Amino acid sequence: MNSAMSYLTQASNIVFKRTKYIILTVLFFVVFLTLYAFILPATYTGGRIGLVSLRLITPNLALFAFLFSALLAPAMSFAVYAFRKKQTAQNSSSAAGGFVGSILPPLLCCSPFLPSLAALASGTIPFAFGVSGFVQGFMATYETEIFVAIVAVLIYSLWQNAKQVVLAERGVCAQV
Amino acid sequence: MKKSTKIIIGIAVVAFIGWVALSSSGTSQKPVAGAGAVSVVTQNALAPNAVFTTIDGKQTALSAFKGKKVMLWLVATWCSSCSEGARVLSQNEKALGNLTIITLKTYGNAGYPGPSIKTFAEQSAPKMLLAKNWLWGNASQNMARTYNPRNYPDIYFLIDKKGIVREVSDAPAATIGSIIKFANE
Repeated sequence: MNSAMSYLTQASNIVFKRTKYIILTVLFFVVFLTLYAFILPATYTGGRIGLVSLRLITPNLALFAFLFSALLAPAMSFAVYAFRKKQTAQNSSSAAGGFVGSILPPLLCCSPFLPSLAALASGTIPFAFGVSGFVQGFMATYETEIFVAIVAVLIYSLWQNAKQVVLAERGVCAQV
Repeated sequence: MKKSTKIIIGIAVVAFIGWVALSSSGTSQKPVAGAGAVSVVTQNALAPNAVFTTIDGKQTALSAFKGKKVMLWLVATWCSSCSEGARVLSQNEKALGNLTIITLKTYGNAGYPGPSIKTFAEQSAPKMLLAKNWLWGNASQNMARTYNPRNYPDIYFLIDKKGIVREVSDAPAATIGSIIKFANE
């Protein structure tokens, strides 16, 4: 637990001492919050995404939209930082390819889509692709539990990316 | 262009394409005849007669409502857009005037178990359990085959006084405007 917090604190100190990463994080947060505020109420709108979503968003969904965005925004900034650090290391030395190793945060590509996929799977996708009633019913019945599980995955993703930032800064191989 | 910038642009492009695709998919669904469908209910055609059972056990025919504006709504009791729809309809009780709302648990509950229609009503729109122009019940298998052959968890039909289906849609919470318009025209 201490080392997990340590990675997060260290990564925050490394990344957020640069103003451009603070701006990037705020930008990610605003984009994701807007996205989830529109997507999450799709379960109430029969898959419609638009201004009607904002009319039907509940405090529960607003909380999850906030949590998803608040976890994803720094995770994405950490990912970008670690990736750029890797690029710099690779460019500065031919040995750096093995030196920094496979530092690209493993969840960079997928983590932003997890909450979206879950929301869409219970909202829009069934209407668009005729997903079976059983899957729809399961997703609707356990929606809160699924969202909580996604929050857990995002926390893990944030921690992983923070670890990558710290390792990249130290210039050691990433432990994926 | 740096790789990280390309990745960010790539994510933005994928998100945008997804957004456009999903926005266009959110239009109202029209029922299509499924494998076991007896008939297909279409807009501007006569609503086929069918029988349902009210929560107090009465067998009732849809034809008994001829001369009244009816919203026939088939729901699955686990469905979020249905509970939200019932809540929003209940909130708009006055605006809906004399519209008769028949809310029925679709046969088989759209493939997933859930509470009874009475529990659904108690949780979503409790004061409408006693409303004169709101009936709650269960669709017969025949009615579900006729009106909901694709087994949607949420589908409604706006039927005018002559028994003609004027609109087929879903998610009343999102489409409340057109329901109110139908009720008052």
